[in-house]
Amino acid sequence: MSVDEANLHMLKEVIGDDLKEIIDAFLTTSPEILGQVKLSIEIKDAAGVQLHSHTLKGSSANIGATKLPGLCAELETKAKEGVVTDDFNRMYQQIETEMQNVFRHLKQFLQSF
Amino acid sequence: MSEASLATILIVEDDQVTRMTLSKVLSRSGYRIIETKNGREGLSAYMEHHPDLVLMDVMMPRLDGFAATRAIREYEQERAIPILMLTSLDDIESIDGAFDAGATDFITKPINWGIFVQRVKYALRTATIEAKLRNQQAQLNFAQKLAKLGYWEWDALQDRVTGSDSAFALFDVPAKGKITLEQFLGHVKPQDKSLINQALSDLTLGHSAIQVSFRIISHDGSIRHVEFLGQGEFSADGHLIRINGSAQDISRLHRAETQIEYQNNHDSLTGLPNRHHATRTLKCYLDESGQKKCAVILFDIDRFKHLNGHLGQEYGDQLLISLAQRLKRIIREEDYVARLGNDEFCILISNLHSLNELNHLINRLEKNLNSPFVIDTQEVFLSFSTGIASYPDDGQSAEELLNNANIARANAKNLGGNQYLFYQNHMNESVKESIQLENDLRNALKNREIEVYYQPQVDAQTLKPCGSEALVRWHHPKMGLISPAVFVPLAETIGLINEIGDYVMRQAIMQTCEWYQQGYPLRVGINLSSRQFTHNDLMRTMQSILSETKLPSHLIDLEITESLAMNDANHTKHQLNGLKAMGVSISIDDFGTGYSSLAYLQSFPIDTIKIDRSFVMNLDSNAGRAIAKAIIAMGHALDLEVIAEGIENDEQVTQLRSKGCHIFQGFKFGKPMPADDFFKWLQSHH
Repeated sequence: MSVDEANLHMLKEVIGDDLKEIIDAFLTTSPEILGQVKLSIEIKDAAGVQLHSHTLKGSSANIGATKLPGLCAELETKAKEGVVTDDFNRMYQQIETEMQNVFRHLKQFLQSF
Repeated sequence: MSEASLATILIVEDDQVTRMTLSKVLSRSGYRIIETKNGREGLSAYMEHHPDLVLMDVMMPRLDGFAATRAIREYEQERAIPILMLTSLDDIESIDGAFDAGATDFITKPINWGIFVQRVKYALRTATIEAKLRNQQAQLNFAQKLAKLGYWEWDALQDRVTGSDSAFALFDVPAKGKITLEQFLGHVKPQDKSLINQALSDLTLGHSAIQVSFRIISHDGSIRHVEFLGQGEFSADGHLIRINGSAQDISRLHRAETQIEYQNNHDSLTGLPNRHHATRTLKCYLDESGQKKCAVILFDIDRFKHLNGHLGQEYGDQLLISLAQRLKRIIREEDYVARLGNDEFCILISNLHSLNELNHLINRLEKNLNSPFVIDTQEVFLSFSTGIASYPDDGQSAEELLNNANIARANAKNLGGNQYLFYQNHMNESVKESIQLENDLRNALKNREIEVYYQPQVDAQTLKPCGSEALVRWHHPKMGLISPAVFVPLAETIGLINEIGDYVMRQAIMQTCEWYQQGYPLRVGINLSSRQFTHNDLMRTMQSILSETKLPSHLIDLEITESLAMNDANHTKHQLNGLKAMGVSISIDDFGTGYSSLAYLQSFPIDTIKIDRSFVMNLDSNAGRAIAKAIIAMGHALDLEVIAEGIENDEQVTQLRSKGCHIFQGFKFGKPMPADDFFKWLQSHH
């Protein structure tokens, strides 16, 4: 499971239909942040990688993504060392793939509204 | 905020999705929400909305969560507002940092939405209870103070007295260390001691309560009537183990008959006669004594308001009381002293034989008042502005004499204070002039007569421009350029200094930002006046300017003088820490000229020291060189940037550069000049 359904339902209970807006926001903003991570890796800006993977970690965790926050955290920790290495591309690939899984799940979940 | 539904919550979080979720969840629960994207916006919103709770992310661009939390804590000294920090569970460092920065609690990410709302509700409720408690405690203290009531407790087994500050004050005993019952009752009037002993032995004989009144002789010699109520507590075998009790100052009851009469004629703080009484006394004297000479000496304390604002009303009151006591002591038997107004006193010298005699008396007065006052073990030196009018030369009636003495006093004040002047006829003129100048100054901002000049600062190694010091100038329409040394003190006395100071600060920052955007990243030094610095709104003003400008805040360098910083070290620390948290640089101006404690200096968040020009001028002597070297070395040791002011020649440049001074300022590089001229200078030297 890429997304913790129980968490989503709890959020829905607390927020109600407004949850749709939040998920929509996630679907719009996270590709942008992911783009920032990618760009930062390309230009070897470790601080940028750290900041953007941190943001992605937080927002994906809050909507209940299960694996994605961990992958982001790994990249964030690595970036703290201050140097962008070849490993980063591999880690980025994992994040991108997992992101697609999360997206699929969330879109499915939106059908239930 | 009595109901949770009315509470306002400030969210400071850079990630849009998390921010939105927080906001939706909380507004569902009925809270009013303010959303901000970074620490800087968060701080601004805090100052504007005064929320009841803050949710603060840690990692954010433009002022992170720690700095923003610190800044809020520095800004908000009165309320213990709950700040909940959002941190990752795995980030122990952040959690430690959160508490260090002053966070109330933390919430871990990913947020458990089910209990999140409960956490917030709990934090709000705790804060409300805490605020209520704090309030009640303050009210209780106030009420006790008002009723001159104190509670005390005597532990009979250890012979130890504890109690409220007001109880100790009533008995005129310092509330420090171990106090025995005998020490506690040490100032009871000897004749009344037997009353107390009687009551105490009643207690040991099995009476459960005592009530006794007696007199206390306080350190200033005055007598105080105290009523003492106590309740005994006994062990199982009937031994007295404790007395709980209260004590109340009932002196007023004893004075009741004469009270009303007394109040009409006396000032309640110092017990001195008031203006009403003084005028009447002077009138009677003039009526009765016929043609005998006499004189009115009228004076006030220089910068008393400032002192009061700085050290607190209570401290100021203490000062007035001890001044009154000293005055009572030093005047001659036949003279008379009264308190006319807040810090304004007058002495009536009767039976005057010659001017010489008057001079002699004034000298004695001056000498006496120049020695320090001791309040709370702290020494204060006061200076006074004094005016003297004598009868019959300077006035025929009581009103005229008091009025003319007052004019002379105002003149002494205008000349900088700390002096005494005899009334002269033409003084009326000069008072008019200074009133005219005051009125002109009031209009100066509106008429755009206040202008900011910039004096170049250059890098000591390259001698290239690196900044400026902003200096204020007043173009008077008739009198031309007026020195800040003249109009700044005037602006302080008439309460315009904040307005002018804020204008200069804003103007200088906006101008420097303009140069910055044209490709000249310069620092700008801005002098803070004492009023501005003690004013609580400084942080708010700075914050509002920062949010309007694109100038990086570290290029703004606020300069305070050494004496200003040391004046109230605690306040300074709060104020500086708050400004520092906003990213502004701080420097100490005129370094080395004032009194300063290195220990304190080190505890202030200072970036720069400015060596005073007097040291630079003395570089041609061995001693002067040694001092400059020592100051620079100290700056290096404390990791501070060093600026030298007043540089006029190459010799000084070489000397100071070799000792490691970082930045130069002085006529050698340029005088203070209007913005346009400064820009030309900048282009020609870049």
